[in-house]
Amino acid sequence: MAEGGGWQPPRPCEAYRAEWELCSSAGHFLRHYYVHGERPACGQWRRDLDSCREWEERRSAEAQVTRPGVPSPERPGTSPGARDAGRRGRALKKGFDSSLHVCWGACFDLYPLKRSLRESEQARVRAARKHGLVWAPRQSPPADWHLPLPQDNDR
Amino acid sequence: MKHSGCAVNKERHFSCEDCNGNVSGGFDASVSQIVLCQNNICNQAHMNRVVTHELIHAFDHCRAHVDWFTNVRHLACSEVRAANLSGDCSLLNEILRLHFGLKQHHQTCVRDRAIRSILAVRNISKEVAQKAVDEVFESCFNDHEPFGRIPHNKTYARYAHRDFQNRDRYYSNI
Repeated sequence: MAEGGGWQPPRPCEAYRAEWELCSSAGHFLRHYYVHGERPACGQWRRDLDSCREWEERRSAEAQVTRPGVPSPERPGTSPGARDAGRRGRALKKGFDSSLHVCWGACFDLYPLKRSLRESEQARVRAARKHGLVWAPRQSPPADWHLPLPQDNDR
Repeated sequence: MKHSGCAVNKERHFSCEDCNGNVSGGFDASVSQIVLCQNNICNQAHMNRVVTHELIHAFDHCRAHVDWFTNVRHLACSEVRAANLSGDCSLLNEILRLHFGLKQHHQTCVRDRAIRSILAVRNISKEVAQKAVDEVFESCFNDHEPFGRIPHNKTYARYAHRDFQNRDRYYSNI
């Protein structure tokens, strides 16, 4: 079975890049120090950006190899695209069987990237939710939110 | 607000009025309406800040059972959040108030302004207000909903909106 089953990084790679650049900026350093009294930690954004980009590159390479009509690594085609796909296939070269669309080592290489990104984002969510709530959440908005004002009813 | 079931209609949910003292605005939870003090709002930047501040109260009213009238801790929590997330305590605004401080000064400002806001609407002592703010501060200061971060300027607000638009992809892939 191909890796992921439809999984993709929680954010587009461009979002990781933007967050890392914002975090690394002098303005953010100043604001973070003003709010929290310490310097911001930006390393995780960079690691996530690298993981995301690597995931996209490997996924793209895998998609090239599995594309219908692209020859298997054992039988490189004559067109440049097919030759490139063949080269990538040989570079991946870990027991790919195009007829069954089964990939072995190449797909397993994606799993650590997926796990890294998921763990990183789960840690962010946990950090945001670790403080208990002061009030009870509503199941539905206030009953009077959309009702006319009382003086409007009296007219 | 719309996503939380409280779509805002400016004719229904906003009222521009003349107010006593130097109050800039308020949220009337009894009728779910934001009051903007037209005689005390000085310029567009001030207006933006007041609207944001009151919308945070409205958002809290929409998403939670906030006991505005008899639970000082609930009121304190919403005031901490509004002071924290509206820009009330930006470095520039504090400097303009001649309040100078840098390291973690934002939190000092948030505490002070939350206490002031509580005292403006409740007939209680400063000590009671301060105690309520202290009890809820850690939880409420770190509650950045609906932004997910403190929106210091338009860039942060834009990123917060981007994350909101991406929420389905985000939560289905973590």
